[in-house]
Amino acid sequence: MREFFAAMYETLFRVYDVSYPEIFSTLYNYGGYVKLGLIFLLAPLFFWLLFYFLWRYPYGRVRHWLLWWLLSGVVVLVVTWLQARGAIFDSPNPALADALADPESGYKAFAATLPQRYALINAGLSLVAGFLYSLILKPFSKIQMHLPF
Amino acid sequence: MQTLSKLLLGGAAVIFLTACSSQSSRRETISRGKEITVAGDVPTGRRVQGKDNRGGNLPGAPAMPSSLPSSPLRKVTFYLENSQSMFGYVSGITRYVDVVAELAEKPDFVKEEIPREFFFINGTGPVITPIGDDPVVLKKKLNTSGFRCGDITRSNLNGMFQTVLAQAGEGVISILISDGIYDIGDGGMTSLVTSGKETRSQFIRRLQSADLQTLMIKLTSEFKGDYFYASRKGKIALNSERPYYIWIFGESHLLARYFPDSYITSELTGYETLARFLKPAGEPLPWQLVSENSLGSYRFDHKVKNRLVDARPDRNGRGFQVTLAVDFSSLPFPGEVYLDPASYTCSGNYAVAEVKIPARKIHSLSFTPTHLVSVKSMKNPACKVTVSLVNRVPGWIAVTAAEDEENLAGDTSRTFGLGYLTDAITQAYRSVAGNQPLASFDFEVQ
Repeated sequence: MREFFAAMYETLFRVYDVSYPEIFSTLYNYGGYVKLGLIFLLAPLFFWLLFYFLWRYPYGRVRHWLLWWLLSGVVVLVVTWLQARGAIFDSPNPALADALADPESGYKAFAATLPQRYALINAGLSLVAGFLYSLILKPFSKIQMHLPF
Repeated sequence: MQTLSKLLLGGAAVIFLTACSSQSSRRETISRGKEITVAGDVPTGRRVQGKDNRGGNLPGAPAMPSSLPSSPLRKVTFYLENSQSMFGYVSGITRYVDVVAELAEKPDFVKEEIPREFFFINGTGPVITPIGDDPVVLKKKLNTSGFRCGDITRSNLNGMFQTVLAQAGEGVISILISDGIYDIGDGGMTSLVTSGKETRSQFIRRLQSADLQTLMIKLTSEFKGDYFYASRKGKIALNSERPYYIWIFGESHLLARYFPDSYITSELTGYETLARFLKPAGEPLPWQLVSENSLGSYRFDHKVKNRLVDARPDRNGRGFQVTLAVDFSSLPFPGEVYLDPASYTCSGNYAVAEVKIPARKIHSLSFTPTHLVSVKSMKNPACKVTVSLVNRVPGWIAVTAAEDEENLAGDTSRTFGLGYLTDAITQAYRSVAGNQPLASFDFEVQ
């Protein structure tokens, strides 16, 4: 799983910068990538489970579905930002902490932009995942089986 | 909808708390990280201490354990060639006299009360004349009358090396001071070649039984006296500068301790240059691939140390370049050796493009690199690469070696036949080392 998520963020989404290897090795070695990956996979699942199995309002419209879908994306965006920021700036890796504290290294300036990038990537992925979860869960719902369409 | 809103808020709160807990439980994460490192579950990061992924020593571990100070310095023996061809160096107060006096009373030896023994050496035997262990007595003999003992009419460089090499090792540093000229008599150049081979044999025999480093220092001094031709009969009176040489033999850690480059260059008057010959220890030096001074794109593999993945050449056609950060501090060679790309060989499609001293701290390393060695490929970058530091003969040796003895009055820096002597030493070290490089660095580009 670590390999999969690392390859996804580093290669597919081209977040990797070879000039700052300590950041990416820290995310890899200390489980940062796994946490980020689980956030975009599990958070929307949780949201759509609530929507399809616990929301008992029988007159749900597409706009409700759409609002829920966007809300899940926003939550993933914020949670990912917090998680990525913590994984990088509160890292237990002393070498990364040392690099971040050295203004000449450029690590701090580069790292400052990373949580936003991970957050945007995860938000986008969570919307895709959420849409798929919605299609998968809809037939099993007793109330919202008509949403989104 | 109200129920759903409550559940939504509850779920969001759970996710937020999970995210926050990963930050607030920093101490816990640290201990987990340590446990993982010890267990070897996460040996992929470049911060893992102790051993690298290939099982090699990592930074912090000594690069040359054989150089560890296992034996302290017990004694220093000095052999001064005193054949008649050396008399010109002791005709008056010369730099030669100054250097011999300096070495005899080297402050380290005095402070640590290291016993010193002094000998004259000449003749074909060779003839060894003990001077004693008092530097004061030696200094009184640094003149033509003091040199006039033993068989001053002949010298046997091979015999001198044999004698001096036999003394070195097991805590003993042995020093030979000579003009480095083979006394080949009437044999001509053929004798010079055979003498060189004999020198090589002397070194090989000694190096097989002991791990000795040879430090060869070239110096110049005033020379006022007769120069005796080595390639033919006769002599010529000279009053000019002449080179002479000091060979210091001993274990590497002792030579590093007592004869660092800084001492030689600053304290030995007339110093010109030096060369060090040693057997490679075979232990890995601390090194790692770094992103400095690179061309093209790639990623560091998280699982395998010093493996690059997704390597692509530069889009502007400048090829692919990566850099090795290496700590050469445990090797004894002069700095210019490491900075010269010609000192390295590369396998695969690569060649050493540039060697620099790091200008700033590199944070992804757990050691302090002394040099950044950049290797470049203009072809497909994907291959296994071995970069080796090889023991090349310093360029000054070829420049210093003279093939004839003409124009001696105007030639103040060259020595007849020196190339045969230094070739012999180099070949001996290569032979004993099995042609292994001084250090090699393997990495893979995918």
